[in-house]
Amino acid sequence: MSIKINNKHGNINIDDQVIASLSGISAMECYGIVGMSSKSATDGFFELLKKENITKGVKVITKDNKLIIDLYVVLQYGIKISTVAENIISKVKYTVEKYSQLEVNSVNVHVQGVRVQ
Amino acid sequence: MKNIEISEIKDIYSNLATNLENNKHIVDSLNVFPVPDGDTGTNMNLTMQSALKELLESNEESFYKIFKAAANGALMGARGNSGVILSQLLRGFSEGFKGVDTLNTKNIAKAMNKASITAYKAVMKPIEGTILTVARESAEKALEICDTKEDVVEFLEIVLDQAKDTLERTPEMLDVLKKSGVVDAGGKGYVLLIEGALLYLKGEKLTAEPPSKQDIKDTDDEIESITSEDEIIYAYCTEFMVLKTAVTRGEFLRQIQDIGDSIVCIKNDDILKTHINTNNPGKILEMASRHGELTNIKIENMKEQFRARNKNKKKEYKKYSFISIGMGHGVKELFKDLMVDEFISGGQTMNPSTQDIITSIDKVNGEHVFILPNNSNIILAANQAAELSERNVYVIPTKTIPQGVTAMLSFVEEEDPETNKENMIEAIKEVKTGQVTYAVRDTEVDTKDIKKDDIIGIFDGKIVSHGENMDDVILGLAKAMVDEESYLITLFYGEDVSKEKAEEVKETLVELAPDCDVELIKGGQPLYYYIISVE
Repeated sequence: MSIKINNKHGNINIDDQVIASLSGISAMECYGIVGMSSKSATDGFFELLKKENITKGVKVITKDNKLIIDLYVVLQYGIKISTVAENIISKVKYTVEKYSQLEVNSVNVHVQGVRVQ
Repeated sequence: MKNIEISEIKDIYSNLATNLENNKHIVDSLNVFPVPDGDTGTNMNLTMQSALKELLESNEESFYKIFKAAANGALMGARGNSGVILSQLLRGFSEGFKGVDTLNTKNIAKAMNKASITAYKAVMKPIEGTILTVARESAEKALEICDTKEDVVEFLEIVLDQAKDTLERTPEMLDVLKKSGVVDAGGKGYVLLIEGALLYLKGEKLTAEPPSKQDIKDTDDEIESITSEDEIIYAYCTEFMVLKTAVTRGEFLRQIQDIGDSIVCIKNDDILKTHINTNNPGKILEMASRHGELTNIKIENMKEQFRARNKNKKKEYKKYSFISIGMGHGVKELFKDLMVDEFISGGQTMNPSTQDIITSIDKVNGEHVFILPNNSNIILAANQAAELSERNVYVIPTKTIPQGVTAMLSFVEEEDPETNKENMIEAIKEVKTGQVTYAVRDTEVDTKDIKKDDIIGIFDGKIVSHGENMDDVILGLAKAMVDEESYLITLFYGEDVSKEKAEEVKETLVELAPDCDVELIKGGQPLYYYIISVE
């Protein structure tokens, strides 16, 4: 599945993977986030993903040419989770819309864990 | 001045918070990173105000306790990216005063350094050219000079100069700032805080500017936590300001406290700002108008807001249900976590009947029902059950537990059932499954001589490794499965394997495939010691 932009000169296809990379990298720039986690980690055995696998912690769905982005993240202990999540949402929405010119319908942040250190 | 007394902390904090508050619009205007929404100053100010509030309410037992109170306040009130960073800085700063009983330049420097370290910990990719850099370089400078400079004012002047200098250089470090021709907003906020402290020590007390319209609290947050209309005792959220009034905050509070709740009353110079939830806004306004001119009056019906908000919420119904089949307690738990509604125990050597599956289909209430057989022998029974049932049943032909897990993960609630079915079938092709079990009799397969009770490794139906040593078999199996494109190995260990043993196996797999993430799950399945999936 990918997003298509058509104009009179031709077509542009943007793959979901591209959006996932954009989302993952921009989320990592947010303060308070220490990593992305894989979704298969639902039984408590989840692990931090290595940097090159970051997009595995992002799920992108396209609906009516609008994006729904799900992020699975691990945050640092000792900070306000809700605020960091809000920051991530606004940062990812802003970055994806700015660089891809696509409309982001929603960004969902799933906090999978906190790192105590 | 060499030491600062504990009794002065509250005044110093008030001063630095006020310095930030009075200049928050400057900070707002600098905000271009991470999102240029012009709220950094406001967010930092709200965070700082929350910290100040806690600090003013704390008792002055020790430096640690008093700073800890501020850190807690900042944590609770943190708003925005810069607010969260500020809350971490304050937390680190307070940690630096654990067991410290004098506030001298050395201890300030140590605490600043601790603050900077704490703040850096909470970010995976620290972005230089932000408040983090300003805090770090200031702390480094502070550490450098704290041995020679014992006068706090002199010390802070140098630290402030360093902070300003770093702030000036932020555009060099962060391109976004350079392009917009600004310095970092959060960094500016940090400079304002140090400046505020220094101004106090030099004898300059700051007073807050009168509150502006923007500070008025939004009622949307209030009704967010309410679940039923009956919970709203006072229906009208009433807000107003009284100008040029002589009445004191306490006196006015006494007059109105019996007619409503959620009262917030702030007096600044001669302006009184009030928020109250009441059933009689007219009476409140009448009382307020006796004390002076009213302005910025806002009355909202919260019951109406609540109804409007609820109307927007769609009625929930279940569109999809899932039935999964497998063996082992851990596997069951795993599927339950993956939102599977019904789990049928069964698999190799005990296949559930068509009737068992139909019974489960009748139990679930989704409009569309997906079945994951997770065993090639059960797919047929599942298909029969799907035909016999009058419901919309879809069978995903998963042959192994890992395939079932992958199918569940590729499911997307928003898509229609047919697309989901296709996606799930597509996804399970990507999964390679290996199983480790024992041979039940002597046999010869593909020229391999296998004895009874030998450990065997099966990969997609073929025996790829065998022998008496379990570790060698697993390694042989894993080698056959992992290739350059693999990125995730999941290891389900069975009921006969201890967790410690499984951890060891996991370690060997990590060594074998350093580029992959290895996940360990207690499957608790019988017969198979290990089930390995590679994606």
